[in-house]
Amino acid sequence: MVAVIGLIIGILIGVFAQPSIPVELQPYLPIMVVAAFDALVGAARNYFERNFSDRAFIVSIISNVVIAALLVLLGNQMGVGSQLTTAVLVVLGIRIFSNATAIRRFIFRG
Amino acid sequence: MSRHSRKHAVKANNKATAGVKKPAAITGELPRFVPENGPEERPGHRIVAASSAHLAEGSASSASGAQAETPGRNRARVKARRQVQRTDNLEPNGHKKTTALSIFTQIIVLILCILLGVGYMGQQRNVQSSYSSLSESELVRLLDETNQKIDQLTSQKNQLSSQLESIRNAVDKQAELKQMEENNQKTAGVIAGTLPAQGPGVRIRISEAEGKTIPASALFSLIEELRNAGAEAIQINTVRVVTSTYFSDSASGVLSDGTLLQAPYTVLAIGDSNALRNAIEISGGIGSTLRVQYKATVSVDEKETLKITHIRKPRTFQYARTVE
Repeated sequence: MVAVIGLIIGILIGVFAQPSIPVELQPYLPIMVVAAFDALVGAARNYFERNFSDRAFIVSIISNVVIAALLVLLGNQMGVGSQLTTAVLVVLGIRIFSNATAIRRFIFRG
Repeated sequence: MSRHSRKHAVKANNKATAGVKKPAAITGELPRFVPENGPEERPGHRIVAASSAHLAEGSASSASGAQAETPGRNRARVKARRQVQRTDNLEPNGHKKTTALSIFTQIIVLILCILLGVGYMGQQRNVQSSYSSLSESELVRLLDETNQKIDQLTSQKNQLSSQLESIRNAVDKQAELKQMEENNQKTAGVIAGTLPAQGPGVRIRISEAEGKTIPASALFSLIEELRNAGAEAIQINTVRVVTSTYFSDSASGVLSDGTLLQAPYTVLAIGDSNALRNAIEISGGIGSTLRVQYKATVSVDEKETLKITHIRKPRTFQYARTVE
């Protein structure tokens, strides 16, 4: 599938080309990556539920990344940066787990 | 949303399947594994297959004696069939799309996933270098390692410092030794007559009187007196006087070290000029002997800097050896 191929290509580029991340992005990068993973797993779940939509995937990934970055920015400005980051990560982790569970259920159900 | 319809279909499946524990909403309860009875699933035909499977199952379960509510099953079957008709119009992914748009969205999906991969690898590389991301035990270990390295390097530095000191001392000593050696060489050279010398001393001019030649013995006495007075370097005419210098009378004059000496004699002696002058001028000394006995004119001049430039070749001893 296109997403998996893209992911693999991206990882290979990251390993071999070793691009440098712009400095302004560096504090937000981990949260953005985890949020994008959450959107990815959600899309995978939709794929297994046979209602996968490219459009929905694109919108969800972009919105997840933007919202996560905004939350981290908000937390930094409020002074609760690390706590808010932890909270966002917890929530994203919960979502990833739930989507993975649904995927597993669908796989084993047939 | 088609997802909603799917949920209904799923619910129908759940109701139709006998004895299967319906999984709760997202709480992670493990559903029991249901073996696939029907044919291979194909998108769009799922409901049909499932329905047929459930029908088969239903019959099988009824055959095995399991209880299933018949009206519920029928309702599910009808509902499922309706779902089939509804879903047959749609494409497998549940949306009607034109091909160009689908390619475009696929490209965007590709780009997003590439960015995700790059971001992931980038973050991985970044995380190694920041201290704030390490756990406490790792930090403690890092601190311990750093302290150990500090100790090691300090001891190494001390070792190297002491080595440097000893080498410096050795170099100093060597320089000192070299200096001493040079001094010794100079002194030895001056004494042996292999090096020119300069310093304060006296210049003695002796001119012979008519008919009275000064014998070698007189010259020898003069040299001896100068030596006794502490002359460090002596030169007579062109001959550098050393320990092995001899004077001998010959038919044509005084021979010294194979060189013929002719009057007037100029004797240069480097040493304490006062003492040297006294040695010559003392009453009853060689000066007066020369004047009285040989009617020679002796003039002694004290000089601040006297240059003795004549040297002699160093000689190697044939018999004498140093004691090892």
